[in-house]
Amino acid sequence: MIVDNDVCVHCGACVGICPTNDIFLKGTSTVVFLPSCTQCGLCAVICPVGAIVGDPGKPVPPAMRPKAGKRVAPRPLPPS
Amino acid sequence: MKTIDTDVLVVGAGPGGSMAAKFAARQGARTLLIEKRQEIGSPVRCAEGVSREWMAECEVSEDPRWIATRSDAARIFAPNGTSATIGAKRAGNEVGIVLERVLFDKALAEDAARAGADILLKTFATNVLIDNGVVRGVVGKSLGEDVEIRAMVTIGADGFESQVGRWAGLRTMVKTRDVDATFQYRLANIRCDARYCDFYLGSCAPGGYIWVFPKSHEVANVGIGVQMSQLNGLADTKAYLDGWIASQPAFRNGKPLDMVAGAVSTSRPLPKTVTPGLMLVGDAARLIDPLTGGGIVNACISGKLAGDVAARAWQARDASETFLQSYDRAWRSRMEKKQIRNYLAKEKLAHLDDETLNTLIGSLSTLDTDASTMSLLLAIGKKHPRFIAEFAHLLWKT
Repeated sequence: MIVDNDVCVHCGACVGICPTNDIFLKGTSTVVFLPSCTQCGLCAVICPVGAIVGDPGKPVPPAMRPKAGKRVAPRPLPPS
Repeated sequence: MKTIDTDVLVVGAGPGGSMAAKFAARQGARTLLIEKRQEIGSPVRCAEGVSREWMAECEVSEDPRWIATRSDAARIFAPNGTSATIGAKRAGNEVGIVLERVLFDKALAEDAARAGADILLKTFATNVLIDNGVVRGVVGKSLGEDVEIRAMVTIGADGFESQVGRWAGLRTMVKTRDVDATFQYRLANIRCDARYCDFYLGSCAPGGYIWVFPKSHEVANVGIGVQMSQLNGLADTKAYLDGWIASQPAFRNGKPLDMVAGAVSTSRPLPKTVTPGLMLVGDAARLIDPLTGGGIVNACISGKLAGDVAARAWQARDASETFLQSYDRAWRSRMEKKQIRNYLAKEKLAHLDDETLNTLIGSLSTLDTDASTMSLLLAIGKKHPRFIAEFAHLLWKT
């Protein structure tokens, strides 16, 4: 998982929800993920400001996969 | 490495921690309160609404310094705009006073200091010290320096993201349906009625609610809690609130003075809040009111109970689990029944659709603000027998 520290408000929601205790707030400015992180994605779901996203190149965490049946708005056709 | 010896160590200087430190220190135990931030009370992570009934019990006297506004009542808004007004006395843990938390937290820490507790800022724990299965303090950093703090009794008051309990092997995990992600602005340049704390229910905040707690008639804490299991995408919580604010003429032109985010647990009481040498209080023990998300009252009451037990454990030189169990029993007899009842009520409310909320709040809106529970029930029962049947098992317990 990757944290955008420019967006993060250091609220600690991710730390509390992490089932494997792999997230720490370092001091009051940085969020640290331990290598043992299982990429479950719960932190990305709970993050109220959307500062956490999955690592590119790693499997999409189950909690972040779109729920079955969720509609995606169709893209408008380009003008011909 | 620096070593500090103390009798009672309290991790976290929020309301629960300061309260625990106050009650432990005043009975003569050497008490140390540690706080990871450089300033107690800041940054605020709270909607700042609180009731008044508990204050005498915790020996807190009202001080105009930390009171922003007083609200007589709560208004509950249905999705269609109908509102029901409930007098502060019946409205639960969050209505009565809107606080200045930055000053409130400091005042509680002042009380702890006056009682004799030491305070260390910018000091955080990185693990617990365990000796033969007994927690004997923590290791951590204090102003950048490695430190080992040895204590006979440790109190974990480290909030939602509590680590102390987990390090000591207590199961404090909560399910995604039992956590709300929260986001709040303090909005200026709005119009609000400073006499009321307002709650908006329905699809504007799935599984939770939007609150407007006034700081004055033109500044308010406007925030949202959304049940985590009902979140779908990135930054949904903030998006729900932004969308709602944009739809409200009274708030649309509001400008943010600050931004607060976080999470609150809305779970059943934990099966276990003590382990040898350690007690958990407040949010760390998941003692937030599951229905309202209010945490201050239960944090203060549990903090007081834990502080008392810690002092007695120190006097008896006994920090065994059996001894500390008296804290677990004390908070359970004080609040467990209400926590379970409110948890069940939350489970029901979190899944009501807008239409049902409209009818329910519509029938409440015709009642007197200080109506008793029984007259509320009778009124709802007359109009909506089905709803009463659903709630019956819950209401018998009140």
